Amino acid sequence: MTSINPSPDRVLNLSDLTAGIARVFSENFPTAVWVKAELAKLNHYPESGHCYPALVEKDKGVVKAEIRGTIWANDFLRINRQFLQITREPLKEGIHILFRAMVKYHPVYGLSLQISDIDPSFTLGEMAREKLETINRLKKDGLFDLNRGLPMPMLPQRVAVISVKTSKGFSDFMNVLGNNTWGYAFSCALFPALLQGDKAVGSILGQLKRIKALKDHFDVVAIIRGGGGDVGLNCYDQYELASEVAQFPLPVLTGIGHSTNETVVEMVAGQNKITPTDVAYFLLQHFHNFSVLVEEYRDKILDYSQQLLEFEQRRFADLIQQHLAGTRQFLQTEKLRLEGLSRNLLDLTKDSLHGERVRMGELRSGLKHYVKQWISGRFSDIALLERQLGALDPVNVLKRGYSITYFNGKPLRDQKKVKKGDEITTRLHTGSLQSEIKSKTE
Amino acid sequence: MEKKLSYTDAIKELEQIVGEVEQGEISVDILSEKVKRATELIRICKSKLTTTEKDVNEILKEESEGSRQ
Repeated sequence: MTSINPSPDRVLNLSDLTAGIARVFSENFPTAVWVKAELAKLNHYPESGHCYPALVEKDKGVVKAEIRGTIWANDFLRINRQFLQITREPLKEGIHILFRAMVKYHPVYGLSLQISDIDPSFTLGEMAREKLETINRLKKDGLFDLNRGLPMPMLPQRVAVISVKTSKGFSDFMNVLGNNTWGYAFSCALFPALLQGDKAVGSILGQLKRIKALKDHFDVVAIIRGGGGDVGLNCYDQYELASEVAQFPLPVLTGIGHSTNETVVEMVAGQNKITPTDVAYFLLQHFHNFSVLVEEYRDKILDYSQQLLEFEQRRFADLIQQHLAGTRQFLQTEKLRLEGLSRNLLDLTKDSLHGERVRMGELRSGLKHYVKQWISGRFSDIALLERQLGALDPVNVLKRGYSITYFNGKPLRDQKKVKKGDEITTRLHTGSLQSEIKSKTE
Repeated sequence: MEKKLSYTDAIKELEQIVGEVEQGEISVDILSEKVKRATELIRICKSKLTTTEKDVNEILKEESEGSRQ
């Protein structure tokens, strides 16, 4: 077994070693090098202003290399300003950067890359590539046109607004909707979210999820941003957010308000109106269209009804005229017929009366004749009776020799009524005799 | 029943009446009935423009109360 004990003259101080290591790096990396890597963490310390970013290279998600970087406060200010100006994004986690750095070894802090410059155009290119990738993936998955294919509701009245309550964009949007002169009523519900920067994706996705659960209570979703400048909009190119917007069951209207290129979210949104006020005017326009349509229908119905009524009135008037004419004709005919009838009746009556009169005359003369005969018959009867009566007249009896004896002026029929010596009168046909009774016989 | 009539249904029915009117399919017998209905539909449509159901805020309230429990 050999001894592992070192000989004292070969022992180094740590600082001697680190100095040696430092020498190795300075000899091998004498000048700055250009490196591309992903900015995994920014680690910016606002107090000191220094940055200690974590730089990684990944292969299919697995970290293949990692090293710490350093950006001194002065460099960071300059680099970040330039970066922001060109990419419209601040330096942030998750982006790919091309940077110029010196490999530095510090005896206390160890190895780091001291970054003196970052090339924004590289990141810009990377971002453009990522954006293109997002677009291509959405198209490949068949999602790109989904939201744009949704029909706009006729009256987009219930609006789920994803915005920031205090932002200018939101207040512009609400002002246009609220102060419209036609009195159109909107019901807007605010779903507050961060609308730019790294946290926007998660924040907007969270609110979209809430709205999705309430989708029956809304007609459209409006993503409204404004007044925040043109930075931090890279989030709208991310696949996760863009695909959610593309697949959203309600039409999404975007008024993200910027002057740079259209983001993917805006491309897939049902309607991209750029500014919040334009989104509001777009909604008002739909109300207008609806209102105009209703008016148009009203006019059509009114016109037609009037036409139909006028037509029917004319038709009715014609019918009345026809009816009147027919009635007049009928009445005229009937009148003539009646006149004819009445004339006939008169004639008939006249004839009939004449006959009666003739008959009456006949009857009258018949009656006269009969009465005359009847009267003469009675005369004959009376004459007969007279003759018969004449036979009974006492004068005629006296003539034949009979006489009437009166006693005290009365005809005497019984001898007992007189006694001897009574004076009686005997009436003869001519004259009378007075006698005295001498005797009586029974 | 009228409340449940959405503007889409209302305008659809109105369109149908207008269609019938344009085709001259409406007789004077049912004209007044149809005009009455159309007037009602127009009233509904117009009132939809200027009134909201105001249920959104209640829904949001309910939703947030539900998530707190």
